[in-house]
Amino acid sequence: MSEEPPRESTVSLRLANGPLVGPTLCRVASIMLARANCPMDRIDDAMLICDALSAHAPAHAANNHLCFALSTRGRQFELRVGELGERATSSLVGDAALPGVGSVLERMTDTLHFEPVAGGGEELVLGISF
Amino acid sequence: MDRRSHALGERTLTMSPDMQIAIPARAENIAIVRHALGALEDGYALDPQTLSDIRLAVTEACTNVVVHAYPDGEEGPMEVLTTLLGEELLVVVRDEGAGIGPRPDSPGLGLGLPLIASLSESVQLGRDERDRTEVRMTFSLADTAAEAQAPAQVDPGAGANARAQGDADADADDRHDGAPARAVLGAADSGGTS
Repeated sequence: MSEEPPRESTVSLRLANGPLVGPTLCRVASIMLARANCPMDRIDDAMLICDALSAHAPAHAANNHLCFALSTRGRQFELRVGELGERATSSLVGDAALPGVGSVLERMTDTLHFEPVAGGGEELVLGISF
Repeated sequence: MDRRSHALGERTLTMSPDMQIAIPARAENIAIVRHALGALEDGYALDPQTLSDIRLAVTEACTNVVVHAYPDGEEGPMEVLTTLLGEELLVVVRDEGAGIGPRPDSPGLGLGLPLIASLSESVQLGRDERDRTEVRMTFSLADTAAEAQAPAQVDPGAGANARAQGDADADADDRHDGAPARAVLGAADSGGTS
């Protein structure tokens, strides 16, 4: 594997609630992480996060679509989930809970917080280090 | 401009795309777009041949953006949008560059747009309401579904042009019947594109 630091990369997605959310998010996240030389176990974690988001985030979308901003910088991966309704992020994190495990979004990420968005609504910000 | 393409364009002006990818116009990012388009197969149960055609056409359009849209040394945005319209898929590749026009010093062979036209049902070149350059392609999903159910017919000459483009990671059985596409090239000249 090359030791050259991977180039910073950013992709923005806007996906209508429907059958494309899960496959598109997982595909884009996986190729970005692979290019950033992310270890396989962390790519697996990211796929679980993407699956959880695609399963539960559409219910909290403010306008029938979701926006994702994916970026890799060094050994950091950041995933922003946008155009969520007001106070939606805490509900979304709770919806992604598994019995005996807790919220997948909290367990699989290194950082998790939300940011209010001008004009209303919230943005969920997830970080993975590898 | 044929009537169907015109109507399609008007109809989609007010529609929100199912998928919108915004990404810097870099050569390495075309692979991300191609990989993301695989979601169409998962989400819409596209047959592999149709997906292969879409990928190849979008690859050509994105390559044009990377090579021609922005001055050397400058980087700009590139967007790919897909919208399902009944039994058709509209795919738009958009940039904020100078537009499509003749380019005598083009590094390409000038085959990109004809290839897109042969792979798609229709193609339109133009600018959107924000003056961004757009390549709008439509792909029939009904025809390919019917073909998938029909007995296989081997045409040894089909697909040669597509393979000649060197799309290395496209499916190996890339095929299209060579029927004239309803290409709408508008006032733009394809001479400046690869």
